Amino acid sequence: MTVLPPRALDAGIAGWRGVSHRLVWVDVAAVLMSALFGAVVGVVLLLLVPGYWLGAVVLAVVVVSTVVRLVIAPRRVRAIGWILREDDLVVRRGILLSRLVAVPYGRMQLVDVNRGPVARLLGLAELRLVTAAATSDVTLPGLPEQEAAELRDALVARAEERRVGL
Amino acid sequence: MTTPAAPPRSRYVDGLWHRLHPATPLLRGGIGLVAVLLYVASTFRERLVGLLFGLPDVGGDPVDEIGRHHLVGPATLIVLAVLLIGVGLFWLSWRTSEFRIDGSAVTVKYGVLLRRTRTAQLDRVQGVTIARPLLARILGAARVELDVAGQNANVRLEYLANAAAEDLRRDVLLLASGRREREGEPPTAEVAVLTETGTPVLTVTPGRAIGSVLLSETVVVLVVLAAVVLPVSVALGAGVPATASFVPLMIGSITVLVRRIGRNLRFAVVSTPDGVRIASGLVSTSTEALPPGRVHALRIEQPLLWRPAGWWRVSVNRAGHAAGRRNAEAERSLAPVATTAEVLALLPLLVPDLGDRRELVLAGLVGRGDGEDFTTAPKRARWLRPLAWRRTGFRMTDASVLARSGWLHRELVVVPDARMQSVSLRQGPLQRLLRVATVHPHVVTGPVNTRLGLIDVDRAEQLFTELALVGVGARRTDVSHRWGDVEPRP
Repeated sequence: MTVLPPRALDAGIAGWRGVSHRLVWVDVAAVLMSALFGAVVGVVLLLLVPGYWLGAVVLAVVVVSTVVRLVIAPRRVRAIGWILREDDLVVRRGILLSRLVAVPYGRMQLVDVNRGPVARLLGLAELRLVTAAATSDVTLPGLPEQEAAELRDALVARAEERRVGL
Repeated sequence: MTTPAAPPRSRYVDGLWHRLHPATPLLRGGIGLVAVLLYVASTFRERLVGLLFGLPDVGGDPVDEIGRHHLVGPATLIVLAVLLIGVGLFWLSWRTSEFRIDGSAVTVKYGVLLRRTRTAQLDRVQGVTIARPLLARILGAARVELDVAGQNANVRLEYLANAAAEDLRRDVLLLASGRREREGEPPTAEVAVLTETGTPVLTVTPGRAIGSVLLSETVVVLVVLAAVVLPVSVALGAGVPATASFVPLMIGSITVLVRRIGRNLRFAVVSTPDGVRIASGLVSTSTEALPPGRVHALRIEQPLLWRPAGWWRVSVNRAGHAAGRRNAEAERSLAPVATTAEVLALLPLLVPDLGDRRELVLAGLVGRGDGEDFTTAPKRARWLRPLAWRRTGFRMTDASVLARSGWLHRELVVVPDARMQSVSLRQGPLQRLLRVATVHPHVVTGPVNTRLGLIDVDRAEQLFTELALVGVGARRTDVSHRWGDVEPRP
């Protein structure tokens, strides 16, 4: 369990807890999957469209975006942080587009724990919070399974304690 | 009639099962069935008579044929039997539809073969709608719909007698507000308050109903099409196809416009102790109650063309109005067209916090710059919104957040602190360059967008912290969703 250093745009909140670095591999797997799909499309275009340029452009875009996404994957994972405060859970995400969300315990309608195939191999889980507002949809990926279960129980307990109406 | 003339108070709120209006099966689609049967009978009567009595089809009128073969008796019996079965089925369907309301929940059960029961907690009821389609209106019946938060979660009582529907709504709202009939207190006083007609807050005059629609964007587009595009295409020699495609477009648009006018006509908002009552419609009327504390976000906007007349449109986000419903947009605009004075009268009923803040609201509606303590966008960010940056701003009051924006299309959004679900702070790359950020109080889905854009980044972080704190605090002390439990605030 790592404590992250402060960064710009975190509203003066200190003591952010980071997620598992193994999440990088989940990201890498996702990037490679979409790269594979893009490559197939590019090759098909290369073979079917006369003049090669369309397929070449698609392949170039796929290669560049894959490299960029692979390079920033570790930074993306390091940027994810969460903290349980007195009355709310705050989650921060993103490097280019930074986002900070505070969800009060009393407003949580349900807590999901999801495990994708790659995440399951690595023993990771994703926590998802739902409130009555569709816009507040908060996901917190890359939690070790044990920690995810504990966090879920803690959230449910606190939500029960402070339940309020809509 | 299922509703004997008993004292109106608590007629339904007694924990017993009650039946619906006897015409219910007919109104809920039975009339269509009858029409289809009659049509089938009149079209195939030769065949039917032939089939039943084994008569040869000789080409004459089947009724004459029956008379000639002395079969009047059996024929009458068959018709009577069919009628009896039909009435019996209707009766069965009516008998099996029942509802019950006790102190805390409402339960509806219906269906003959597939029995269904739905129970809803009364304090989760977001509002009560009474609608009267044309046929129901003729028969003196009304559909009562209890809005409950959630997709497709409304509880429908179709149909009830008119007076019963009104009583039921009042009782349900009373219970929802947390009030209980207290011992020893004469119920008549309570009834008197609640059956009061209330104070009209907003009444749409026919002139305004028509004017507001004629001054809308749709009409402008139509006029531009008719005045510019059509002559140009005729001049270019494409007159016939252009006209041919224009006519259906015109007819369609006019239909929509007329329907919109019809909805605006006789639109009225009345303030009562139960909350705000909204009545609308000319042909098929609907009445809707909106209890206080159920407004999750509110927007007051003014299209450019409405500015000379000083009209505003008021929309709200509220739980229970599931997205994707028919006429959803119309139902969500709380007041399709209101004058500034009416807006100022209506606002305190929906957001009690803004009760005597006339100057503040006016600054939010028409002001610019930092009058009335609005925090405006920093000058360095002006080229992100070259026209509107001096209007873009926010202001926190004791119990809500106001967001002002738009220069041509003016807009003021109000979010009560106690209804915020969560809050986010975000910043994209361009915003980072200009050192601004967006704060977004999250509320239930609806037409109102509650983003507060173009805030100086330090102020935005501060606002985020304040909203996160204030939201939690406001929620603890908020009782406006059970507003009958407490004394009104001084």
